[in-house]
Order: sequence, then structure tokens, then C-alpha cells
Amino acid sequence: MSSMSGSVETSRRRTRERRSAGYYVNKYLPWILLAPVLVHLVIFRYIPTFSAFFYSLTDWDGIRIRRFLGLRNFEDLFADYVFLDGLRNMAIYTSLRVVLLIAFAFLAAEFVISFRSAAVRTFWKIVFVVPMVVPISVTYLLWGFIFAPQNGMLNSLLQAIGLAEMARPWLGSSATALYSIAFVQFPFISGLAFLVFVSALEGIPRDVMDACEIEGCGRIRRVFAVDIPMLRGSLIFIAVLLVLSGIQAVEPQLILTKGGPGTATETPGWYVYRAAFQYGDFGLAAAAGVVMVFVGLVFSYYTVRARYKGAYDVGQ
Amino acid sequence: MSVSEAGAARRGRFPWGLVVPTAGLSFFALVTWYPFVFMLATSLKTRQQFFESYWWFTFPFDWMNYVEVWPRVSRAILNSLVYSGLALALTLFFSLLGGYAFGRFNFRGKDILFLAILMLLMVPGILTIVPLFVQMRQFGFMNTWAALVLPWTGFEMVFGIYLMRLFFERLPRELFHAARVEGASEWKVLLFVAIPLALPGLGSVAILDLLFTWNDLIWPIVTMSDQNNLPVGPTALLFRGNENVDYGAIFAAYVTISAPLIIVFSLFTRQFLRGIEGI
Repeated sequence: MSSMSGSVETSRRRTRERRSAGYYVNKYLPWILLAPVLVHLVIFRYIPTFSAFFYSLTDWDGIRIRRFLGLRNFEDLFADYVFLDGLRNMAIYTSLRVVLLIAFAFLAAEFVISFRSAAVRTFWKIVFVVPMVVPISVTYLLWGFIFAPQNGMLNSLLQAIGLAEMARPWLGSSATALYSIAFVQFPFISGLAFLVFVSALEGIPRDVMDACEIEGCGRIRRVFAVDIPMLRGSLIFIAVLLVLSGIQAVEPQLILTKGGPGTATETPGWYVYRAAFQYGDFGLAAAAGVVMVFVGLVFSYYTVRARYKGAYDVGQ
Repeated sequence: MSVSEAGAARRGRFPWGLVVPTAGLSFFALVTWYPFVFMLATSLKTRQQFFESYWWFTFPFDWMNYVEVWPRVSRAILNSLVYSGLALALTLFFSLLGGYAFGRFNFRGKDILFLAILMLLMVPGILTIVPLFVQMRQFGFMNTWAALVLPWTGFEMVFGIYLMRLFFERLPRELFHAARVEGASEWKVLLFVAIPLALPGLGSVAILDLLFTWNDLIWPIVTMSDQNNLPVGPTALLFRGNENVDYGAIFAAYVTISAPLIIVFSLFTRQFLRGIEGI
């Protein structure tokens, strides 16, 4: 009797154990899948992120920390005219890029969807997508050649059309350098923004557009009354993306201007690069990086808010 | 034709609705493309030809520029294929795991964890470049593929996980239930149901990842002190002129460096466009 109940007990326990192994695998499956992801992110993203904030408070030289400085690095930054000029340049550059890129990409997207034929649309998409896969460094080097004082395309063009007196060293004069780097990639169409706008516009039901036009609003009126409000989501998405990439851009400095002439094209991103890899002041570089994060957050916050506000006004 | 075009045609007016977009797009295309055409034309010129005819192709083509730059550029292309290929494989793997875990299951702490991962999108590369650089040095990764591939993967998988989560959430749940009811284990469901269905989503992730790794400039410059190990982007910077430069050779290097991704793209144009629209 007791031996029988014992064997029943064991077999029941055995089934429960077998069941529970599978049960736990299923219960923890998401965690098992996520484990490698989280390990990788902790090592290569979270630790560097948090240590950047910590190092910004020290005199870290990449090997050891001699002193804890508190906010001294930040005081130094905001006393350094190079960094302050950089902040101003970054604001000008980023605003110009956001406005220009969105305006041109949106205009081109509107042009593309005014064709009904899918084949024609695809043709234009391909025309503007191919240059997108040219490496960014090649694109910038080409623009360096366009702006070059001697044999450069822009100056040669000005000479060819009889405006030789307008020719100048575009990147070499402080009056034009910042605007020149903001102008790189003109007309700014081959990029994500254009494709996102086209596919968003294609998502607007044709009836809505036609209805608007039958009601007698012209095409331009339709763009403002229908298209832009309906593209709100895409516009915000692209604007935030462009703000963040504008703040972080170092290609113009790295490839074209080295921050010069003088401080004409200095930016905080370039400041980080030089502080760390030219002067070995890793603590100061980390502090400049921290400032950029806050600037990025503030900029994107206002971008999102401005777009929502604008959209709300149209809705009224 | 849209309604207004039809109206215009009926009234016999000039079809502005088609002419303006065509003219506008043609102008944009011309300005976008001409620098690249110029690059191609110049890469086929001798020094003499460059100064004789600046704006357009000259004949006969001079292929020597390509012969001259090929040894160095081919090395860079090979490097880039290895680095970007490895990073692509790892990024797809992690995006799939993460996206599937978040898209298919409910578990404690899911929302907070997802938010914590998404927060990384707001952390700019420029903030972490310094600590990450020192970390790579401590790991002994400098000048190796690992210094590029592992951090790249850490960056790209975040948006990848986000995209794949959205993608899996859009798939009908019955697909997975059916497979489970039929007796497939969770692993089999992942391998034989989820992965085949996820291919279009993975395509979008792959495109973004390739564009990012192929273009990255500052991180390889910082971590690869040996010029032979550089990928294509920074290698292009080694070809630049000051006085009395051989423009033909420089532009031949640029053309060669740009070629691989353009070839890949032209083979997969349709998938590329669909992939970007999937974002």
C-alpha cells in the first residue's frame, strides 16, 4: 500500500518535473531570446553611455582619472569661445539643413505624386535613390571639388557664364564657409526624406485629393489644406531625424573645413573629436558630448511641439 | 490624369499639371546627377584632357587611372565587404531575436525594457565615441574587425528591434497558434514560421544597416590606425589633391569606391524601394 502510493507519487512528480521544464522554457522564452541582445547592448551601448556622463566630471585622459572635477569641464566649455561659436554655428547649420532638406524633398515628392502612372513614379524614385548609395565621404569630397578655389566646378561655372567676379574660395572665407557646407548635396532630394514623403503621400486616398480639387481648391491650396496635415507624422519623424543628424554632423569638418577658417565652421561635434583625439582631453570631450545630448533633446522636443501646434492650427 | 488635368485637357488649356512637375524633377535630377557624371568623365581623362575639356567626356578614354588606384581601392572594398557583411549578419540576428521577443510575447517588464532600449535612439554616437574608443583599446580590438562590427551592431540593432517588433505585431496571431496546436515547439515556430515571414522586415533592416556601415566615417578613422584596414569611406579621404594633382586618378578612386553598393542596389532596386517604404 505504502509502496504503491510511493510509486504513484514518484511518477506524478516525474511528469510534473517534465512538464515544468517545458513550462519554464516557455515562460522565460522571451528572456532567453533577449539575453544576447541585452548583453550586447549593455557592453556596447549602456556602459559607454553612462561612463560618458561620469567621465565628463573628471580629468580622464583615456587611461586614468587623476582628479574629480565636478562641473569644471562644463565651466571650461562655456568659457571657451571656440565651443560657443560652435554652438552658434551648429544652430545655424542645423536649422538651415532641416528647412532646406524638408522643403526640397517635399516639393519633389509632390511633383512625383502628381503623375498617375506607377511606372513614371518608380522611374523618378530610382533617379533620386541611386545617388543615395554613393558613400557619403565621396559625396562630400565631390562637393569639396565643387567649392574648390582652383579648377572647382562652381567657380568655373561662374567664369563660364561671365560672373567671374563672384568666384571666391567658398570654403576658405569665413563669410561663406558655413553656408557652403549647409549647401552640400543641393538639391537635397536623394535621401530618406524624399522616399518617406512619397510613400506617405501615396498613402493619402486619392479620393480625398480629388474631392478637394473638385471643391475648387487649387493644387497649391490642396497641398496646404490636405497633404501637409495628413503628413504630420512623417514630417515630425523626418524633422527629428534631421535635427539629430544636423547636430551630430562632423563630415563637413572632417572632410572639408577642419572647423575653419578661424572658428567659422566649428561645431560641438568637431570639438569633441579634437578634444579627445588631438589633445587627449577625454574628460572635456565627454562633457562636450553631454552638452550635445541636452541640446539634441531640447531641439527635438521643440521640433515635435512646433509641428503638432502647426498641424492643430490647420485642423481648426 | 488627375481631375484638374482632365479639366484642363477638356478646356484645351496648357497642361501645367504635368509640365511643371516634369520640368522641376528634371532640373533636380540634373543638379543631383551632374557632379557624379563629372566624376565619371574626369576619371577617364589624362591630365592633358582635363584641362582641354573641363565639363564633359573626352575621347579616347584613359583607363590608366583605374589601373593606378585599383590595388589600394580593392583592398578597401574587400575590407568593407567583410566588416559590413559581419555587422549585417549580427544586426539581423539580434533584431530578429529582439523583435520576435517583443512582438510575439507578453512578459513582465516588457514595456519598461522596450522603452529602455528605445531610449538608446536618443543617445548620439558622438557622446559614446570617447568611452567606446577606450573600451575597444582595453579589449584589444583596435585595428581589428571587432572594433567596427560590434559597436556598429550595438547601434543598428536598436532601430532593427523596433522595426521587427512592429513587423511581428502586424502578422496575424493565428499563424503562430496554428503551428503550436499542430505540435511544433516554440523553437520550431521561430525557425520555420517566424523567420520566413520576417524576411521583408529584415530586408528593411538590412538596407538601413548597409547604408549606415558603408558610410560610417569617423569611427573607422578613430579605431583603425593601419590604413590597410580601413573600409571604403575613410579610404576615399586618402585620395585628395592639393596643388598640381592628378584629378583623373582621384576621381577614378571615387568611382571605384562607389561602384559596389551601386551594383548591389541596381540588382535589388525593387526590394530596396519596398524596404525603405516599409520603414
